[in-house]
Amino acid sequence: MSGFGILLHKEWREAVRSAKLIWLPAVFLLLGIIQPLTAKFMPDILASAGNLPEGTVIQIPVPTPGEVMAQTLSQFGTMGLLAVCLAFMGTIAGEKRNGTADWILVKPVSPLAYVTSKWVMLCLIIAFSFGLGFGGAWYYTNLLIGIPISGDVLFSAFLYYIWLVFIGTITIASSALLRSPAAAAFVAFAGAIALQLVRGLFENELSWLPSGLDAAAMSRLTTGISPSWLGAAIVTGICIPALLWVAAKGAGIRKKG
Amino acid sequence: MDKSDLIMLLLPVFLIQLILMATALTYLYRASSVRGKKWVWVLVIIFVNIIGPILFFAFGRKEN
Repeated sequence: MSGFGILLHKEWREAVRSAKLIWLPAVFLLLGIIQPLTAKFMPDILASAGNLPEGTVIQIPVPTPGEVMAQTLSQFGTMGLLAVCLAFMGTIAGEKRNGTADWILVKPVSPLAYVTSKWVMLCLIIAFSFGLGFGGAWYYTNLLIGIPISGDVLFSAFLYYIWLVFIGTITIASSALLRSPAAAAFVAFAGAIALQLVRGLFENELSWLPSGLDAAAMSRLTTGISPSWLGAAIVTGICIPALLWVAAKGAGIRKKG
Repeated sequence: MDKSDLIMLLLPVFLIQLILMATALTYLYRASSVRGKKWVWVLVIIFVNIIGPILFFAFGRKEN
């Protein structure tokens, strides 16, 4: 496995060189901090926005700590997901384009090891970014709103992390199959949104879709229960290796000429 | 909740925004060539908060 270590090291240097290690955590941290602030000061924000008739009384129920954390997750589910897709879109498509992939794969390195090294680095970077962001949200919720139930927060973080890694894995796979990084990002992001939509429409029949993880994480925070998370986790656990295998096949296909 | 408390709460937000902006500008300054014009990216990074730097890192840099 010495080759794998070298590949991992290369991915690490690539992450540092492309500043992913700075901007992805920063984006998650910003999203995570801003949401509790918004929840806390929403009445003030509305009042200062003006254009309300004189004497308007705004009654907004203060959300529970769990609800604020769930709102943070829904922020991660749009902006955060988009950031993940953009961060990893070029991971194979870009390297195919500039010849790095060919240069690596002519050496006795299996395409699977090449793809897996990328995947391991993705898991680490997402863990760091999401952990920082969700931790920031937790801290600010404690300060401003109240103290959420720790067990629920940790469990939903675990579920949501798997969901993020799954979307990252889709990004790697589409990056291996498509020529353009932008197309890869689009496919992964659109796929994530579509999965969430479909699951929302057929809640009872399709709770086992990977997007069930994201829904279960949120309901755990708002209601304290996370229905049918296990099915979604098992399906996702099967999908991730399958996607990596597809990505390895895609990465192994050489450019003509 | 008085003014100074609020400033303490908002300070990290501004700091992280600043880090993001500074990182993007540093990379832009060091890059030998970027997609599009450099001064356009400067404006995007400075005036489109959060998303501007992301766009630069995602689409502005040429891989070579």
